[in-house]
Amino acid sequence: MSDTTETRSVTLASSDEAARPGGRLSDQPRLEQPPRGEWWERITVWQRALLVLLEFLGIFVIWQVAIGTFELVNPIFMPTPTDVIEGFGQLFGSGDKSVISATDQDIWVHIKRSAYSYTVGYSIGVMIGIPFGLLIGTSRVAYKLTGPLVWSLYAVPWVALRPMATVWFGFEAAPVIFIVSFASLFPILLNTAAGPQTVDKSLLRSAEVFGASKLDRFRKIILPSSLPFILIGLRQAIIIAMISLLVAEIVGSSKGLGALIVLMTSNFRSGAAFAVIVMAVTVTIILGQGARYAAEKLAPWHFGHKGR
Amino acid sequence: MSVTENTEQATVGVGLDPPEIDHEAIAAKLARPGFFKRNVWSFVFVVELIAIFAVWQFIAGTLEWFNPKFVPPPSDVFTELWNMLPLVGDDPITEHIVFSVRNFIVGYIIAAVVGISIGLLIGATKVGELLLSPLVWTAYAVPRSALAPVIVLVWGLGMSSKVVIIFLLAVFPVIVNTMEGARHVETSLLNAGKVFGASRTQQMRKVFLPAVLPFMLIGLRIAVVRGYIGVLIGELVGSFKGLGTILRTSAFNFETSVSLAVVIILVVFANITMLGVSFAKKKLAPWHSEEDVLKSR
Repeated sequence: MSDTTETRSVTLASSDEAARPGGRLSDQPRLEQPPRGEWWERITVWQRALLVLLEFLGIFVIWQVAIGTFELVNPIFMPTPTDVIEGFGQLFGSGDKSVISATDQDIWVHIKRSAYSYTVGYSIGVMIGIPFGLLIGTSRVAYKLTGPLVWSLYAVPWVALRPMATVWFGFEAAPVIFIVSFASLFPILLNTAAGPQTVDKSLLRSAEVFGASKLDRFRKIILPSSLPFILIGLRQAIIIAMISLLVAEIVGSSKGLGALIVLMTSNFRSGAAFAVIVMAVTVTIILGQGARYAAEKLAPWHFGHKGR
Repeated sequence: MSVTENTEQATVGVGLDPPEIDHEAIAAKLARPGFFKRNVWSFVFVVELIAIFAVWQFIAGTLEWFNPKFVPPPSDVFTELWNMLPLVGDDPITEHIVFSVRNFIVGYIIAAVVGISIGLLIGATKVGELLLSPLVWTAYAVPRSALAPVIVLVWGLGMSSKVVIIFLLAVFPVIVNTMEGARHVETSLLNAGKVFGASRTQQMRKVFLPAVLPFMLIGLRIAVVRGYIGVLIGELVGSFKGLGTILRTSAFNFETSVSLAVVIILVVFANITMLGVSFAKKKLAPWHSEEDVLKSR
């Protein structure tokens, strides 16, 4: 935070100098201020990163010692970091080590099922959310007609639909896909709809003056200026889709990562259950960072390093 | 209308008469639009809603395109809803509603207290930010709802596991919003307080806390929805009581109308709580307005 404000003030000062050559501002010799304050206000970014790293290491060590060695809490309830690493071995190991092989499956069955449900569910959310969002964002009548319905559906906690999704769609991937697309639809839809609202009206007017047709205005002005909002919605949906996927699989599904968490927990192998969660977190972080990178490439005027 | 009349006059007459001004028409144009005109979209929505329910009733109830066990007509849903209501219904589910709502209230209050304290600690002190904020962001990245089976294993099928889940889901929006709000308090405000001789506690109480308050309340409002999702997850994973339990058993008995009625109850409760927090925000921090692009149309 402090970095950005500093650069901003510096650029301001230099532009002032450019405006008034030999002006008063540049006459004053600038005093280099000695670093002030307590130690935590003076450390650099690298020192801070090191500190955080040490902190995490310390927490892991304390956690390991408190639960693994002294067993302050039963390790089944709160697995230690080494338990979690062992859990990975149990999940991916073959033969005796594997805990899933007893059920005639291996972990890839679960991973494939989850990847399938996630991709299809998220894509359905995108395919409904973006066009519909653009529609209610650009057309006032469409917004007035469907807006209240959208807001009231948005108020429905998506978990509540999970038992009924089983009734409607059966026991395979379909109910999970339904829940994932329902959960990821609204961030995409509402963010997309907010996009056209913020278009600079003078841009639209000048385009009209220069004879741009309605379609041209939509394609060349409304769509590009809504793009950052769409990307924000897509990024939010990545996270919520993962959460809804796991929950939908935990509550009444026999395959998938969520089902694996339930299976491992009920076998009292909480290390393996935590390992599944670590996997899901890793995937979410990778997807989120990918989306951030894509956003910076696609809409550099909004997400670029120099901008916000 | 008046324009055409005037031109007619001009062609018929000599052309010297000043055009008659229709004062009434102008006044009518400038007047505040009538009650119906102002609320036209609300009426349209009500009509639309009635139409949707009528079509649904007709398709599901009269034509029976779908098996009513899967897609019940609205009349069934509302009958079930009425039956479930405490005091008036034949088969009230008071016990379950009380269980769920009590869990929610306990978990939410703990989340609010802990969340606001941690958020302020991180936002107001540099050491807190340095040491705690990486932890908070890491924990925030973990899908905590995926821990539900483990939590139920540890804390059992009763109330405590539900409270823990609700707490875990609701606490993070509060922490994150409070800490971001505290971090972005305008320094000029704090400096002004300092210049006018406010003591450290006065600065905290009269400048810092009021500046953070709206963000706390926004966090608390997001936490409401998370909390109700937590209620459901906890009860769907394993419970003997509560709205989530009814939802699960009714769906598995193919009583979809009961499930939909429970969903309506949940939405009503969640919205009442949200409205309460919004009302509190309007009263406690009336100066803070959120720009909501969509709702302002």
